[in-house]
Amino acid sequence: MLQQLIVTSQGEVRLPHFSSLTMAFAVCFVFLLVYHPVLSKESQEPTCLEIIVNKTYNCEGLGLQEVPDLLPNSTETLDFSFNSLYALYNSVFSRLENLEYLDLSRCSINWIYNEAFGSNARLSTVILAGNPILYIADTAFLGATSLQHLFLQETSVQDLSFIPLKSLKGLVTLHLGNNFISSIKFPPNITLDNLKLVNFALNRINSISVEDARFLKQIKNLTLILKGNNIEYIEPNAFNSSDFHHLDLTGCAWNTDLSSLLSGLIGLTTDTLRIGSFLDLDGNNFDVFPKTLNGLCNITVKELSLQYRKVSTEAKEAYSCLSKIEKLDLTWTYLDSIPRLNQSSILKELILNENKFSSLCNVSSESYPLVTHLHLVGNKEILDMGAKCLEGFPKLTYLDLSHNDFHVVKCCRVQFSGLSSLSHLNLSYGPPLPLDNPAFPENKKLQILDLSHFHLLTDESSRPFSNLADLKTLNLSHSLVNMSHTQLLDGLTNLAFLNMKGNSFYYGTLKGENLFSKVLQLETLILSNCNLQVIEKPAFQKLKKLKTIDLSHNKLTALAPDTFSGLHEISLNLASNMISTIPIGLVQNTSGGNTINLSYNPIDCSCSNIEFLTWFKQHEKIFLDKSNTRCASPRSLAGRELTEVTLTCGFSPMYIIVIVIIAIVCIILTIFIVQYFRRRIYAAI
Amino acid sequence: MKNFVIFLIISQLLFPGEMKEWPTHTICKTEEVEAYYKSCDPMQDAGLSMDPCYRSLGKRLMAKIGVILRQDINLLYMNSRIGYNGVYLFHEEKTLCEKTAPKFSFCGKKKGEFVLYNHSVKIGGPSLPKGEYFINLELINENNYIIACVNFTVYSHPTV
Repeated sequence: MLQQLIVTSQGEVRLPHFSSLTMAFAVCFVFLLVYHPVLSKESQEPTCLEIIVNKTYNCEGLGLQEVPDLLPNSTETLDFSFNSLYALYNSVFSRLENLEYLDLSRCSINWIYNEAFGSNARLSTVILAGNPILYIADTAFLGATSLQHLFLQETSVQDLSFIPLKSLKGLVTLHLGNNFISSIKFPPNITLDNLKLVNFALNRINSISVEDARFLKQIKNLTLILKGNNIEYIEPNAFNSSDFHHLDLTGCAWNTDLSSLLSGLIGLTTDTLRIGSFLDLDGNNFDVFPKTLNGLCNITVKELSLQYRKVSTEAKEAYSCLSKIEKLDLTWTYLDSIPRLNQSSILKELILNENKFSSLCNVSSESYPLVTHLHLVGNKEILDMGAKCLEGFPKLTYLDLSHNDFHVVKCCRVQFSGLSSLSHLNLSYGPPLPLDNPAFPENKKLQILDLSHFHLLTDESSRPFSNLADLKTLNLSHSLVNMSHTQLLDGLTNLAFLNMKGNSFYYGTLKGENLFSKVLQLETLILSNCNLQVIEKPAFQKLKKLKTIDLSHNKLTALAPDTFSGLHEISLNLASNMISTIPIGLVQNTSGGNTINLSYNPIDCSCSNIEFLTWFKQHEKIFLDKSNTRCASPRSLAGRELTEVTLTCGFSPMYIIVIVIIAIVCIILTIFIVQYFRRRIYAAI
Repeated sequence: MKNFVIFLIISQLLFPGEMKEWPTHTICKTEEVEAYYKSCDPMQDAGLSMDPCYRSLGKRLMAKIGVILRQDINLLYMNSRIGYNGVYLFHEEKTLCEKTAPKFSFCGKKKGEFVLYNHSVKIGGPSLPKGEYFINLELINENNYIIACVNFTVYSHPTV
């Protein structure tokens, strides 16, 4: 092209000067060399990721300004977020008539014009979060007759009349968080019969009058989220005779007493009421005083949350109106003793996480006669747990005491005595404690026991769980279990799930006769990060019901073909070991259609492993994380995915024929040469 | 012509086709302490400032952190890894948001929304001894997706 230019600019046809020709070539060459990748990139349109063929596509963050032509008309789910559209016209999505889910978050949309989704009659979800919307036409959603979920968070909405709700008759959820809305008042003459959730989180609502709430109060089973609004006043009767599912007022009333909100909720019935606070709100007044909660007497609530409010120490009478509550959340409420509730309390679940209790013992047995679930996680003081300390909760079935430190010499016989109904106990992340023998003599109904990160101290003759025949799930991960303690799991006749992650085996060896031989009903066994190097043969032979075994993150180099003999259809996780060759018998016998994970192993892709590699090719579907299942040797294939490698081992017939021909030619040639030299020698004689 | 060729090569060297690293931002620089950060999230840079700039960790300081969400944060965990003079010290995990126990007002925000944490923080602990500190901070959601990733470098040089 450059050559032609020179030709025409000279006005006559002649060859350009030699040096200028070379220079032109040089420039051309350099230009191409330097800008080649950039040019090729520009000509290539970014392509959307295909998740499900012809149905689901992800075009997130590709800098697109329009819907790519390559997208099929049958697309049902489209993630078009983080692109730049500026304006939504009728034509933008008209081609995609089957569209059901459309994500347009952060697309810099300023304008939404008439019938923007007019051709998308099946559209049920539109996400417009984070768009600086200046204008929405009243007819914007005309034609989108199936629209149920509209997300308009952070779209600079100031008033509900800005949204064309008249044409959104089927709306189920409306998300308006992080806007500048100052009133929950809906425009007149709107019918939204299916409305179930309205989210006004983090707006500018300061007060709610009877008039404001007129539309929302009549909706049954509504979830109304008003969290993070500095609501200081709710007019009494604003929600009188409302029947809600969930009312979230967390982090409201920053500078006034909570009672001014509660008095406005007279006559309300709701399953859940959240009137707590957040850690990142700088309110002056998040205190709960003795009379603050009196308004609750006029509200019917099943579940109440007061999280992060400061309940004053003299607030004995603060709980006088809580007798009809079934679930009470008092997370981080600065409590130093367990509150006393009314005798007639019907409380079933109590959450007391992150408080400052020094003891659990001073609970009167009349306070919580019906409590079945108790959460006391991450207490800020060391807990005193004397004998029969928890007798105040006689019906307890679920107890979470994780992330706590205890003033206890030995665990857990006296501490949990009297809790005969207990079925779920979480003591994870506890202090190092010696266990009684047996450890839970009075808790025979235990089904789930979590002792992870507990630092178990037992002597080798003890059988701490011997009476827990009902136990189904046991988590002993990272609890420094002595793995040669063969009697440890004695008595767990129904155990189905056992997590032993992070406990080291001596000399890296799992012996044939081991602590798992006693848990015959085991279905899942997790032995990852156990420093395992060798598994002796009959290690799992007795575990006939084993379905899943996780041996990942160990130091296994090889497995015998009959390691899992007698077990069928087990899912095997061998990721992150040092296995290079896999005996074919091992995978053939174990995987009856279940999964195998061999990722992050240095797999040998030479002919010595051909049997397994061929089997892998034929059964690719059962292997997990194939993109990280790679060859480590031979050097020519190192780093390649196993799925990409095709090996041919042995000699092909063609190769043999060629070799034979060459050999014959060589022989004939040798004979001729020998003959020739002989003749010459003879001639010389 | 030669100049043109040189211009082409230099222009390519100065303005590469792809931006692979975010710039290093200065948080503060005083006689006692210097603090820098750099986003390690391939999707976005992060906004971050702290005031005042103290060597002592015991005092409360104002922190302002801004991140655009690429995924929902119904659950949010904070992982931090701390190193001192090139040696790894320890690592800490914290839960910031749970579905039934949202600690902060931004919990439950959805993809596309902006999170601005502008509040006082108290790290706790004594004054930083002299040396170079490295802190890697990651925010991870319910899908194990990295919501934000920031690497800090802090140089402490006590004057006394």
